[in-house]
Amino acid sequence: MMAGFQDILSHLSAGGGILWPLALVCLLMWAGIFERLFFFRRLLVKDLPPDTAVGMALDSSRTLPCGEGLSLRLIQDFRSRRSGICMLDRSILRECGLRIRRDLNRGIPQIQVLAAVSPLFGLLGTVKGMIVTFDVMAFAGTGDARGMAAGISEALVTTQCGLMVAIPGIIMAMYLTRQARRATYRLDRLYAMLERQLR
Amino acid sequence: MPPKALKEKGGSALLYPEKGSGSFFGRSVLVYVTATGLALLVTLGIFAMVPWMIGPPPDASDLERMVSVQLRDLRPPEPEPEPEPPKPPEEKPPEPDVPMEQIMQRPLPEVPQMEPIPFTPDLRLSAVPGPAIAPPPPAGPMTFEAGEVDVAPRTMVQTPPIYPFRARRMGIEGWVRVRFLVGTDGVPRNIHVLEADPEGVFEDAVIQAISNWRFEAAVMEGRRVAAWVVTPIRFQLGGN
Repeated sequence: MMAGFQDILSHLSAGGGILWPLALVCLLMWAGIFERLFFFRRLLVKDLPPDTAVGMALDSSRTLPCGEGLSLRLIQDFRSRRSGICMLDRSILRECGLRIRRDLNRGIPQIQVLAAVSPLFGLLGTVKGMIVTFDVMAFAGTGDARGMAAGISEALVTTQCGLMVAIPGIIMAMYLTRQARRATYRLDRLYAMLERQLR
Repeated sequence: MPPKALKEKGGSALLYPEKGSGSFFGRSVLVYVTATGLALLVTLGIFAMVPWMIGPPPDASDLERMVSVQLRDLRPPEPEPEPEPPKPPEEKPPEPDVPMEQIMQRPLPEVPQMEPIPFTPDLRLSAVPGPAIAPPPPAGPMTFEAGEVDVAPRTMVQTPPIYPFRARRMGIEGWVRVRFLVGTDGVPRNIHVLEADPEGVFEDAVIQAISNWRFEAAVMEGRRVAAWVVTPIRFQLGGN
């Protein structure tokens, strides 16, 4: 375990200074991804069926079950503010829907930006490594294969790391975008059902 | 029950935002901590895959081990492997065996290491001990010691010498000091060994290598001149 960790550290330093910010980008990105994954899991997996949800929203005598599903959040929000006047209730319902909708997409653009930026970090490392290579060549001539190899390996390692951070990040960002779209769709449907039954 | 009732009350007030976001925020700290921890694991995993994809770096000792195995295989036909050291140019090892330090150091210390022997003709040169020295060759009118010229000869092509197989197998390290004349055309001539640490081991390889080197001729008062160069060449076995 310890040896593996030191192996990683030595490779981080072998890639020049570029790999540290790349590791930071990777960390931030995955923190965001996991936060969103938890969020959607709570929101979508533990959700109520829509009919039950509509019934609960309209009948204020029923106690709400504990939980944090999407419908439940909308209903809790709505019921705690409901006024009883039809027109006012509709606008209150819309406001609740908008607040939840804002939460759904929170953080996903940041994840996409981080995923898109990491190959650029790799590219920066490539350029830096090539500069090192040419410095060695200017200094020691082309006979020094070892010195040149150090620069080239720096270039390749950073490129590789950038891509390895970016690929899963982009996939996860796509997945999260789809989850957000699904949640939005569900929210819209519930909202429409509720609005129809309000009176 | 009482807290829930309180919440209901607070929720029914007009200042509603705290209710939803408050409880949600209290939980989200835990979520963020967990997410960061998991992200740390994933990051470590990704960066642990990098060395694994690259594979272990080719170690110099690995190469030596491979070579020694080869030698053992070659042994049974007795007369064949013995004359191996003299014909190194045929079997170029995939990697230059001369260690990094030597290659990196050579261009830099070249100038200081060329020994500025003051120009006291004949006397000084013949005073240098050692039978290996050829008599100072009458190389035309323009022959200078490296310390005297304005611009010392600079290496253009410098192939590392080939580590003699027997020395490598027996783990011998050492050095050779050579002196040679870089002509106006940049070709080294009159290569001879001044000193060698284990004698009779590396000299041939060094002479072979240096005769392949090419230089930019020394310059003295704007003209290219021939100049003597003295340089040590170290032989060190693997290990970075």
